[in-house]
Amino acid sequence: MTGKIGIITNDKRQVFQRDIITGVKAIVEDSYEVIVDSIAEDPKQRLEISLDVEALDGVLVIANVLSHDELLGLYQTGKPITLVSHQEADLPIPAVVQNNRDGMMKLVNYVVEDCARKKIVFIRGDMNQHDGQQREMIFQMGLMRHDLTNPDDYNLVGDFNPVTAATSIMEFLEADKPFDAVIASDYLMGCAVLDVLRAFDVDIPKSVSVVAFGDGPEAVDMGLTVAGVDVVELGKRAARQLLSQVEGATISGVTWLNTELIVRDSS
Amino acid sequence: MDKATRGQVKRHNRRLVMRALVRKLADNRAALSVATQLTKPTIGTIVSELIDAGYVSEIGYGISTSSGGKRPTLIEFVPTARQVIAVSIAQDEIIAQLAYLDGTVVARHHMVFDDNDDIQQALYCTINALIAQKDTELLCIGVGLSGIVDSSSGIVVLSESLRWTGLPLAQNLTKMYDVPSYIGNNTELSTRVQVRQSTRDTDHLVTVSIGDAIEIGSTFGGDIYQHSEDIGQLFVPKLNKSVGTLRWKTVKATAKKIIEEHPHSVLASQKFTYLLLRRAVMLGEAPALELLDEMATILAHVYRWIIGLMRPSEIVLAGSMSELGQVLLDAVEEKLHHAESNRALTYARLTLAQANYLSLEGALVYALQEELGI
Repeated sequence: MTGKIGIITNDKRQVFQRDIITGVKAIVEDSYEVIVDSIAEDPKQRLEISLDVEALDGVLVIANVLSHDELLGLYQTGKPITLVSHQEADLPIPAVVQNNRDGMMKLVNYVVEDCARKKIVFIRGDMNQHDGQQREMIFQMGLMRHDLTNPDDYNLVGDFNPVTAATSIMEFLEADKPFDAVIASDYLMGCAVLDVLRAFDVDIPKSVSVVAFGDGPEAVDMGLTVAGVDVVELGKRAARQLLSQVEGATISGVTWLNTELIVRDSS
Repeated sequence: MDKATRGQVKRHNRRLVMRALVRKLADNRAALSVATQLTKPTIGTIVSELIDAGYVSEIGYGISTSSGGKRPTLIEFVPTARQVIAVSIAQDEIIAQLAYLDGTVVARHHMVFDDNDDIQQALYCTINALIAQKDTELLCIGVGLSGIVDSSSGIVVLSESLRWTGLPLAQNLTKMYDVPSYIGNNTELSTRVQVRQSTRDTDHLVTVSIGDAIEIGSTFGGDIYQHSEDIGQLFVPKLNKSVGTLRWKTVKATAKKIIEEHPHSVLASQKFTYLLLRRAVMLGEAPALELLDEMATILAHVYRWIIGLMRPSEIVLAGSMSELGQVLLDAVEEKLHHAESNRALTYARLTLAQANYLSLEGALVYALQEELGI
């Protein structure tokens, strides 16, 4: 035992990553030193992993910061690994993620059944990430359960980037298409959309309901309705999974953390 | 008949008290004595033990009686006192959940396995993952699976899909995790949940679960539960096909052929699911309607057997096929009306399972019933 836990992330300064790290530290810091390797703070110039993996008891990898081959290499070191908010289907590395199915279904059911909305705009996440792909798939399944579909041009690019989401919804507004709800694949994009719609004097929630997946202080401040897990809690749960492996438990598969629907002013 | 031992009586009394508290039939010791018909000293002892174990807490004082008697100490059940792991093993996946005693789910875990995997090992990996997340003491483990299960002895008699014969699974789990473990058939466990969730008369409810396995679960008088073997081998002469045609793998293979022949069908637009088939049916696509008709014909045949043999008050369609929704049930009902007297059909309501993770919920309900009587 080395008494050290590593975290590999793309950018430790981003809200999501920062909160995950906070959660991890809350669980392990009494017994372990936490070393964070933030390898893509400049997205144009991603760095190599600088952690000395052999000198660690275990490693947490946040989202899709590593390629499949890099994860395979990490797995082959034999060190306990936990993926946070990411899955790699053909590698037996366990993961802890928010329950996308549970959360997206809650949002679709709420918007369709409780808010009686039918023309729904969807703000996609990063479609290179498991979360982005899965949330869109479940959104579409949710619509089908209500015998609804949305046209392709109602599925807007968001990339889990609030600026991109804001641009997409502005372009959509300019096209003057009818809509009565927006479901965003994450809450930071939801906040950005809400900002734009309010700036354009869209009557929220009377004319349009805005909801999003995930939750954080920004969503609370903006009054955004969400279904999600507190990201700090996600970090804590991921740390527990890693510690359990460090202590000798064999774990594989994916742990889904259940989401909670929190209705606020935006719907 | 043998007399009950002192330990058995004590356990029974404790379960009566727990049940009364969970159902909020009483909120103090005197009221518990009335609700359970147990003496006040017995109630006093049991409540003290439950408080020590953390299942019950004192929360203040009630109102004194009109004659000015002592104010009763209010007590309530503490659902966060323990957590339970419930597991459902299907053909190629394990889904499990960690929940509090009131069913509040903390986390679920999902694991996919293939033919080469050691399924018992996969089960342990799944349980380990949830044990890592537990916030309090683990009370017990409940497991549901397809196949013939002897719940009382905890033995999997035969599960063809999991390739288990005579496996003492409950005993293995108890040895591994040092907590009581209970096992049951998935469809039977789903039926328990259906009965619990139904607001109507469910005196005789039958659940038909169709996914990778095709099984029937039933309840009589709301208390006796039974499950069938996989009925996929049964033959439907009219179609010259077996009931196994309804298995998910077979339906998926049929859909694949349709997609090859009709590449512009909505079925080709994304990964095939029952929801996608439902959408194709709603759009009036002929091959999808044909497939639905064949499925409805076979399912109507199964329902006809059930109605003829069991005369249930309700037949619930569960499993992945229930995603096809009302459109399938309407087609089944229409076919039944051609063959059955209206009286028989009026007697049996045809419904769809409303909840996801039914067998998982059932495993939780069963484990709690067995362990605490709640």
